[in-house]
Amino acid sequence: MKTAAMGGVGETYDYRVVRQFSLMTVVWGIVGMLVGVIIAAQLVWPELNFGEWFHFGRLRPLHTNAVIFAFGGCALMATSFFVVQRTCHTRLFAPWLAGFVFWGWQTVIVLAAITLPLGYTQGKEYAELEWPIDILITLVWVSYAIVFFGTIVKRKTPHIYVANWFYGAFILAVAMLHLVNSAAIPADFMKSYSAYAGVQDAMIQWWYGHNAVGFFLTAGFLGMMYYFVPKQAERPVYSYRLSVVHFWALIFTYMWAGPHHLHYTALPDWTQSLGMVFSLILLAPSWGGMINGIMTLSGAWHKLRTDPILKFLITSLSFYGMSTFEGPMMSIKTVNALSHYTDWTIGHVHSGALGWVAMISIGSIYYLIPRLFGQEKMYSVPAISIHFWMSTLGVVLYIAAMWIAGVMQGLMWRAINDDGTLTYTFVESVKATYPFWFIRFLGGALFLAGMFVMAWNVWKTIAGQKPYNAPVIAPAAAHA
Amino acid sequence: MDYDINTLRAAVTVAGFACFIVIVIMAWRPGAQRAHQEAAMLPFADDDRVHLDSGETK
Repeated sequence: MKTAAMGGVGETYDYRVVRQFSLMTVVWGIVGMLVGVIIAAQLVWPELNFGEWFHFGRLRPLHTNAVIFAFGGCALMATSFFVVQRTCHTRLFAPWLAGFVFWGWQTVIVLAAITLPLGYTQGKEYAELEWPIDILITLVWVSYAIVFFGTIVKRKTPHIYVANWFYGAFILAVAMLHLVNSAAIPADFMKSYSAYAGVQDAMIQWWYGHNAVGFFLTAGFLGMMYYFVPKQAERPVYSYRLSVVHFWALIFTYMWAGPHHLHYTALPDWTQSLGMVFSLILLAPSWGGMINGIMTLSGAWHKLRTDPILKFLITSLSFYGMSTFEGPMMSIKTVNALSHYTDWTIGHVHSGALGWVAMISIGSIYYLIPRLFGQEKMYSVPAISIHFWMSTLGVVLYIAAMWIAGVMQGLMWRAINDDGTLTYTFVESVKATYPFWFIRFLGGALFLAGMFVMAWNVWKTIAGQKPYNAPVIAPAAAHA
Repeated sequence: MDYDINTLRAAVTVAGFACFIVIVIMAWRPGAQRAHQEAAMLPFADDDRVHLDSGETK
């Protein structure tokens, strides 16, 4: 062990938990996307549904939980623990508790991977896990909040950098969403019933569901964007003022958008319209963030030509801009009458999940890995470039196929003959969708293959290398 | 006018909007520029590239 005397302190940042979460991001990314490719294949070739444990209905929630909470969650925890230390110029608060956050979160993921195929579920989308696992999630999340906010409290800087505002909002909002939506009456050890009933239950579920998108999949990853885009571009964020205003606009607005998931249901009409209006307003703060990120590169556009990490980060912002335009548009009731329940929704989700969330995470992990293992850069920079093109092509194939499939399904379902009967049976729309499901399978498989390139590159970068902890910046230097 | 739960709901909505307007004004006030610039430079105060002569490996 070698300890340096930079600033005479000899103290180093707590990178251990960052390393753990970074490596598991890659592992769970592969697992979660593999399950996604499997269920995509099951739609094309139904004979791949084996028995009760390995059919689409049970594997689909496993896929969504694995990519959102295992892949996305590990990426968020890795980067937030890194960023909060580096921008507060201090070590983590209670590093032992951060260790519990890591092992607790991995336990939750493994329990999900066991219980979901076995059929244990609360039946709430993205909140399927049964009540004993929900309690473990609560313990882990509270610990995460203590470590994160504890570190902010002991910061050595006068300001709290904007990335930490976004991470902080994500941690607080997800705690609230989880506690409210998971409230349930246990019937036995692995069975419970929601504390709410009827349309209230549906509204609470989609208040949760859309804010899981708004805070887990947006605010958290914007936190990532506000650190890694400026660092990789080597210039400060385009407008700090814009970051403050769009942060609060996002926070005030997202909470109200959930009802657009329940258009034309038993939910009161005024609530649906309210959800639609707030979803339309959301375009402004979403594009505020997108523009702020992309414009950070102004004056340094040439870097995009040579730097594949920056390509990942900036392309992710383009997909963020596209999907946050598409989302408000789909929330308009007349558009939703066509798009709802079709594959268009699946395409929209993956333009956000693969294009925005996965690509900004991948770029950030490529940034982190060398710094965590005492290396200057990844083992192979050209391999990052190959990964980038595989990902981009994969997403485009995926979402284009789903757009066509979705609009086609919507048009077929609503087509009526002169005498008022339906032109097509439902199964005819299924049959017409097969070619597009196959293209989607190819797009997903290409994206997954890119993750294997990443795993190889990460392995070659860290194999035989010692973990490295950077020195904490000396207070004098911080205020120079 | 009758006061009921909806009066409170309307008041909270108005208060929320007023709060946002205050935030916008605060972001544009003349003194904010310097603080924003300082905060924006925070990620760069600290060089996070690897320097094997400092830090620790184990």
